Amino acid sequence: MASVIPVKDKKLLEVKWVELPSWILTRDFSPSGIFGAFRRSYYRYYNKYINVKKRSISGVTMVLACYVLFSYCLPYKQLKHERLCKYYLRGHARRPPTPRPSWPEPLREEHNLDRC
Amino acid sequence: MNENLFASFAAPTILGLPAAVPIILFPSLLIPTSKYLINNRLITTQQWLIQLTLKQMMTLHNTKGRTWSLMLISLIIFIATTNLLGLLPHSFTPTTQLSMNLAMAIPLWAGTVATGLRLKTKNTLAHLLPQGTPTPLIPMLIIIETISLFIQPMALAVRLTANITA
Repeated sequence: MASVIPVKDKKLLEVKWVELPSWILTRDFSPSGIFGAFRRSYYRYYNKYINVKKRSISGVTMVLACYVLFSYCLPYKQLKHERLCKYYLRGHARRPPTPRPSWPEPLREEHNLDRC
Repeated sequence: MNENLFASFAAPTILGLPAAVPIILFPSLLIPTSKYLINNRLITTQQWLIQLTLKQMMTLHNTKGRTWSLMLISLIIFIATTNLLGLLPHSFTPTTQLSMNLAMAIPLWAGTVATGLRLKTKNTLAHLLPQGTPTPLIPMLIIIETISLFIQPMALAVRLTANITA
C-alpha cells in the first residue's frame, strides 16, 4: 500500500497545482523561518556550484548576472524614458503631446508695417 | 540623457522602501566562511588576498597596533567589494553616498585621535608643531595643524565619494 506524504512535507516541485495554496499556508513565515529559508537556499546554491572540486567561473557569474538584472529592475521607471526610440519629442517624458486641430486655421490679418 | 547629472546615484527604492540595506549586505554573500583548513578555490583565493594585504599593512606595527587588523581588513574588504561590484552595469555603489563615507570616516578618525590623546598625550600634542619651525610662526602653525586635523575625516569621506562618483 503506497504511503501518502502530507502536503507539508512535500517539496515544491512535487506539489500539484491544486495543493499549492494549502502548501503555501503550511510554510513558516516568521522571521526565523524566512531567515532559515534564505540560509537553506544559499547553502544549496553554494554546495551545488561553488563548493565542488571542478569549480568554474559560472557559479559566481550567475550570481552577478542576477544582481545586474535586479539593479536594472529597481530604477526601471526612470530608465524607461531613456530607451532608444525612432522619433523623439522634446519633453516627451514629462508631458503628453498637445492635441492639434484637424482643420486648417483661418488666415490672420497681416500687420501693416508702415503704421508706425 | 538623465534629468540631472546625479540621477543615477540616487538611493534605490523598492516600492518606496529603501533598498540600500540589502545592496550593502550583498557583498557578504560573495565571501563565504569555512571551518576547514583546506577549502575550495574561491575561499582559498580570498584568504590568500587577505593575507597579502594583511602582511603589507601589519608588519610595521607592534603587538598592540595589530589589534586593529580585524577592523582595518574588514573595512578594506568591504570598500573593495562594493567598489568592484559598482563596476557592473546599472548597479548601485553605496560608497557614492557621502553619508556612508562620513559614517565610516568619522568614527575611525575619532577613535585614532582619542586613543592617541589618551595613551600618548605628549606625543600627540607634539605632532601639532612640525620640527624646525621658526619661533614667530609657532602660534599660527599650531592653529593650522589643528584645523587640518579636524578636516581629516571630511577629506577622507569626500575623497572616496568624489573618486567613486567619477
